[in-house]
Amino acid sequence: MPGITKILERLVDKRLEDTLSDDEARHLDRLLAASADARKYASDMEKLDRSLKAMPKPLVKPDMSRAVMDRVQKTGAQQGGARNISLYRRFLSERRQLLKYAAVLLVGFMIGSAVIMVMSPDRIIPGREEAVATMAARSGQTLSFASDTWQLHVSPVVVDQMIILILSVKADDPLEVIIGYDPQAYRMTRIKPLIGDAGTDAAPERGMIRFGSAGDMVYQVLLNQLTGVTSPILFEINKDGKLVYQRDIFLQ
Amino acid sequence: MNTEEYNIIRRVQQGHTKEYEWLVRKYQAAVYNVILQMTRQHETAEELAQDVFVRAFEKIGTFHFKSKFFSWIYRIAINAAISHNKKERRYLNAEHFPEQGSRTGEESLDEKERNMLIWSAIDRLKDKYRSVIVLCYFEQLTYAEIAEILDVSEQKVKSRLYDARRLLRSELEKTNYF
Repeated sequence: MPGITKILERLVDKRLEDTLSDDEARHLDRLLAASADARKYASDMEKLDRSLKAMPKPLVKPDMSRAVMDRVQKTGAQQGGARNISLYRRFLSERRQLLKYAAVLLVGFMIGSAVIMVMSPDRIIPGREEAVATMAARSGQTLSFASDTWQLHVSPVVVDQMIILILSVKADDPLEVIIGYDPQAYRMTRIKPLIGDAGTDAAPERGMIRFGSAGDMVYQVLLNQLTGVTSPILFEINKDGKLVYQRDIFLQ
Repeated sequence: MNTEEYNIIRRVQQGHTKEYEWLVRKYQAAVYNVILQMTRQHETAEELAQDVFVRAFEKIGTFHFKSKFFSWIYRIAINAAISHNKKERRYLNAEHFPEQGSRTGEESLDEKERNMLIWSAIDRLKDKYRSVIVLCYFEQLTYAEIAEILDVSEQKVKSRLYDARRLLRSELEKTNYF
């Protein structure tokens, strides 16, 4: 609409915020006087602001303390783990270089393991998992999931703010593997096919990496942690356009 | 943060697990309600709120009192809700939104309809805009508090709010709201 300019929008916004200076208020009055569209815009925005302020707020007061404390008691051992994080981080800052070398060795080992897993058809896979679930994983741990027609192995390595994921997939039929992450929590810095490549597609702004996969594939993905807040990484497998497997992994 | 809260967090960090219940009781309603407003599903809100407290407990060793505990746990809650919404874009209709403890029962039909239109428009916002609307209008937090929770500058909060309002108006313009 012709009367709605960026300046008008900014000034109306400032009026809603009650931060208009006298000069700005006079300028806004002039813009409003000159255009019916501008007046409609200002009136709409004020109505919206009033409505939002008057919206009924849910005032539910749940009591989940018992449920939370039960879970917390069960994971009590992790409390010690939480305390150790500070020590671990201190160790990292002092021994960062040494740790990076160790990480490189570990990544090499992981890649080797991933390759062996993909290449060994008779490899015994841990029991079949639920289709959708959340779980925690420690750096250096390999997570293996399987169905009759595919196997997925994920080996995360956490080094300071960097997460290295070695992802190996063995599939009889074409699959689509998706890694999802919160782009405010992680930045994807690298995707590299190590064995096979059925095409990768990354949408970093949406926190999504998509791999095509058929046969034996091994990929390396590097994510940089942007905040100290733990955010899950989602692994999803789709077959024939249908979700067959989904798992959130919290890296520890 | 008051001294009592500071001392309790310190004790939890030292391994006094039971003391954590005080923090859960203090913040459970706030965490639950902010997640509810982000996801609009009661069961999800309860499940995620519990997860948030368990995750916060596991990570409490990394809380260094640089921010308020309230901001820290809100940030975990908002991220959990955003993460959930990314995976599952299924929102309940506004008519299913909580009535318990709200003023919904006293609203006229017109108000209900208008509120449904607003919620429906909020549902269509990206999470970064939805979160500032929820935190600013429904949680009534200051820009400084929102900035701390979202880990962005106050200017960014203002700018997102400006965009969020314009986007809401544009969504509502497609209806008979105005």
